[in-house]
Amino acid sequence: MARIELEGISHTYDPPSVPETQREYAVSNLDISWPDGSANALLGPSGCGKTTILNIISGLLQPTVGRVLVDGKDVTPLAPRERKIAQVFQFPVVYDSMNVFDNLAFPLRNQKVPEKAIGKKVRETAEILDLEDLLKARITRLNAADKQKISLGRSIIREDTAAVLLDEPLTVIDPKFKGGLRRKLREVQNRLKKTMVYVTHDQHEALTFADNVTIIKDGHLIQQGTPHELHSQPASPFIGYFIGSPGMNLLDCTLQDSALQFSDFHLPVSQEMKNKLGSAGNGLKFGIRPEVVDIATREQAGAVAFTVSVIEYTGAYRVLTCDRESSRIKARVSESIPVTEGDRIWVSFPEEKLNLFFNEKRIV
Amino acid sequence: MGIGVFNIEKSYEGAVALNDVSMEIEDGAFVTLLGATGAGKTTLLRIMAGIDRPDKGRVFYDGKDVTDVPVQKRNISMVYQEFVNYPSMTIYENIASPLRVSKTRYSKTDIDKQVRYHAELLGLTAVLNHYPEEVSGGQKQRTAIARALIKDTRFIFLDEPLANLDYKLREELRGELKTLLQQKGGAVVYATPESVDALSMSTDVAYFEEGRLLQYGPLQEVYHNPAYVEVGAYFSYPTMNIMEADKVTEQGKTSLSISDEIRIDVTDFRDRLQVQQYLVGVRAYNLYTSSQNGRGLIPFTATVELAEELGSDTELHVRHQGLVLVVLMQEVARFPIGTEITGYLDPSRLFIFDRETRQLVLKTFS
Amino acid sequence: MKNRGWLFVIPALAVLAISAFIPLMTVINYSLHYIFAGSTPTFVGFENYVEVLRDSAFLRALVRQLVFSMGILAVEVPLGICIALCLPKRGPGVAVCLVLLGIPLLIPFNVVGIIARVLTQSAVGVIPEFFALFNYSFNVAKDPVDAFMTIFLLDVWHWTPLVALLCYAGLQAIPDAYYQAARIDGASAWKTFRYVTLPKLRSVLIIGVLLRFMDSFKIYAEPLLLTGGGPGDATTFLSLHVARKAESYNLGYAGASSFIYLFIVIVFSYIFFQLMTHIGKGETK
Repeated sequence: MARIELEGISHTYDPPSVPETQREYAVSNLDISWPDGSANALLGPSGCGKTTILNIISGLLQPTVGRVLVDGKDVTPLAPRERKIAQVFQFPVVYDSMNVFDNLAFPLRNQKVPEKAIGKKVRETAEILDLEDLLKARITRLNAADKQKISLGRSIIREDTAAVLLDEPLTVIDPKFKGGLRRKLREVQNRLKKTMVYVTHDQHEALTFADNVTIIKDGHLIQQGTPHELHSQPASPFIGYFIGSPGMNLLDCTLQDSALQFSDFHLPVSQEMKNKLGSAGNGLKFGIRPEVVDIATREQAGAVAFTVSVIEYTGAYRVLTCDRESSRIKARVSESIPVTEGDRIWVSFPEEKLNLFFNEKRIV
Repeated sequence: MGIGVFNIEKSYEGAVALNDVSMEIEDGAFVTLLGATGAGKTTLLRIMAGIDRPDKGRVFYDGKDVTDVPVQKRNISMVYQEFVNYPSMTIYENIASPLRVSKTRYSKTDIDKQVRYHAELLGLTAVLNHYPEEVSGGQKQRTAIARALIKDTRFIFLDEPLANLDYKLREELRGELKTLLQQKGGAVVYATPESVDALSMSTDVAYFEEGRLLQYGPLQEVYHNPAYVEVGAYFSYPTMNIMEADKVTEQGKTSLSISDEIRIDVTDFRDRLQVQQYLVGVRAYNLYTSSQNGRGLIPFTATVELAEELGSDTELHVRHQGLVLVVLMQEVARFPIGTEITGYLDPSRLFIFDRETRQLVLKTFS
Repeated sequence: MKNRGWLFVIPALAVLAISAFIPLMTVINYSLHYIFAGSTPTFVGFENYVEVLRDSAFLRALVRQLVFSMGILAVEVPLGICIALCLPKRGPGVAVCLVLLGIPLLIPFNVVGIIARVLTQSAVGVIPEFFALFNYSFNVAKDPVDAFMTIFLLDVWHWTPLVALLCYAGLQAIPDAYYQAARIDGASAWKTFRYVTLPKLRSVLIIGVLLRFMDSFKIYAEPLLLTGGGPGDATTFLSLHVARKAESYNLGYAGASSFIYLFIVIVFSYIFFQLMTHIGKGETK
């Protein structure tokens, strides 16, 4: 296992004949470092450049600019096979004409490992993946989740694998098996401590799997951090909305005379907050998580009146969609607060839990 | 008025898909047919819509027997899991298509007005001139939904319409669908394996297992009074933990013993506990990692096996003496695997089921 | 029956009954009688069948046919796969290659036979001239091997493109991820072919083998036009043999041999189908 680093990676699919200034970059200026044995995720919406990055790491694609390092060694010019980077694909890739055992043994047999050692290693891997009972089974009889496990098994069975890339591995799995496999992937990483990079558009999968999540949007790295950091200190409004369920409430506002002016209400702020905001007065974006919005059923000083338009019930809590003339926020409240659709409620926003963004960057 | 199905039976190649199912759906209701893959919910949906015929039983629309009426004569709308659109038509034409083939003739301006209204509702105005393959999955499914809405029908059937969408889109559409569909006035029938869909949108829930309708009633009723342990275990978001418990009577006190650490005093309910063996259910959000959450909590030791992030919450999978329990924490927290924790169980939040009959015996709360 | 869809199949079944079932029954009926045109048929039971199976001309035609068909499969299938593998995957070359490959398929059997006859004619043909350069006297009218090989190569030229096109379509349908995975697993080119390409081509290959086997069993026009089945009976394949008997008004014999012929085709096709659907399915060792 090894440390994987991307150094100043940019890539364009445009041919060199396109002048420098007109080239469209699928990814640009990426610097990422994944420590040895870490569980990582690359998270971003469809079409954000994740697959390009993945292909650059595995060596299927040569970056236009930049280097890929494995344990400090430059592997950019190496072919995929020489990089020892394994990959699990979106749909399960298995060899149909072999049984489960032979599938797992395939990478080892290609390396001419003695058959005895292969048997031992295959059984070990099967045990980790709960496939022991299926070793003799015909591949075509298995469901997609088990096939995906075999796919993962082949990528972890070689001792010399530098890293494992997982490319949206749960996309085609039946919902019934998704939860189990998601947990299994996490467990396998934790047990083997292999460097893994999990690529997905699903924040739920990314946050469950990884200790270190990198968020990509339009080919740019916009934030890297632990799930908790991404949740509590989103670097941009997009992350605030993308991470968390429901996403962060985002409203446009300006700072005028010690108060944030919204289109149809205003919110006084403390001197301290004013100092932090400094000169950024216009074009602010106000963000607050639905779970920290305070709701009262009676009028309160400093609270803003909203009307509850929709209540979504979710076992542990309810999500209220609250409207004013032109503002809409969502609030997550416990079951005990008595509200029904159409009620008038008073909403307050605790200042210490506010996020304010300026120019798409978090400033408070 | 509404939809009624009575004594429906259906088999596919000898396997029973539906076994004597009867239910009535009132106008204005949003009914979720809930159940795992293969439980029979999609089969029933298709029979209600008229796509499949039941082997036995009758289907009624507004009191009229429509069992033998083919689907094209029933005037219903259907939205599928796959994004079904006409690939050679623009989004505009796709949305307009039900009006164009309708028996009632619509004027050009009428159609235009209707299409634009529905496109606006579903946020499709910007892509009206695009073809389905040029738009995102969410937009494709919205187009399919717009097509279902524009049709002047009383009943809308949806078969896992959100299954193939990204989680964020799913979350957005859930909120929208509830409002949009209920504006239509007729009945909405929605088949899904996801409890959270049922919870966030529907007025009524029908739970299916192995082709049988186990429970049908208003959302809150089914959620808070699951008739069987299977209903409670499945219809919960997040999961309900189910633990085996034996009744123990000592020194005039009756308790349910789950492990040496977890013993629940049920003296107050002893009259209703006639048998020895029970299953105790507790929802993940009634297990805590701190004693701050209530009074009289029962502490237990456990080891963290996995922390799973669910939106803004964390689902902690912990092992307590051979039992795997799920604890919901309403924050994004990180617990290294193997951490020893003390969990707390809220004895005033329990469902007690008979282990033999699997029926709900009592709840320790109202 | 609750599903009324099968009603739609009735017209097709009726046509099939008339076009296949009735003639087949007629053939079976004939095969059980001594029947010469103009005479009254007499029932003879299985005597025609016994006669056919004892007829050395029939048995020779059968062996010749099997050698020919097996040879065709042994050459055309691997060659077709190779051609498909060599074709460009994308770009402007694709269309050109597909059209070139398709040309032989568009030429009718009898035209192929006539072309072959012109090319091999001893006085004017290009091929005898060519062999003459090496002091080999090539003559399809006299040399049985020359005649057989000419028919064989003709069939390879005519029908290998079909196998190649089928395989090409099959290859296009294999997702790239399989090849990437094999590269990452360190598989050699041969192993990649053996464990990725070949298994994924299974279903098109089944179709290809069955089509080529059944078609080659029916070869008729080419030998008839080239040498009339000669020299001697060197290119008298089964269908030619059966047709000859029918032409000689021995309808009972022709009926029996036709039926045996049909039976052989069905049995062999079934064997191929079973073999190909079951081999290499990752069965437990």
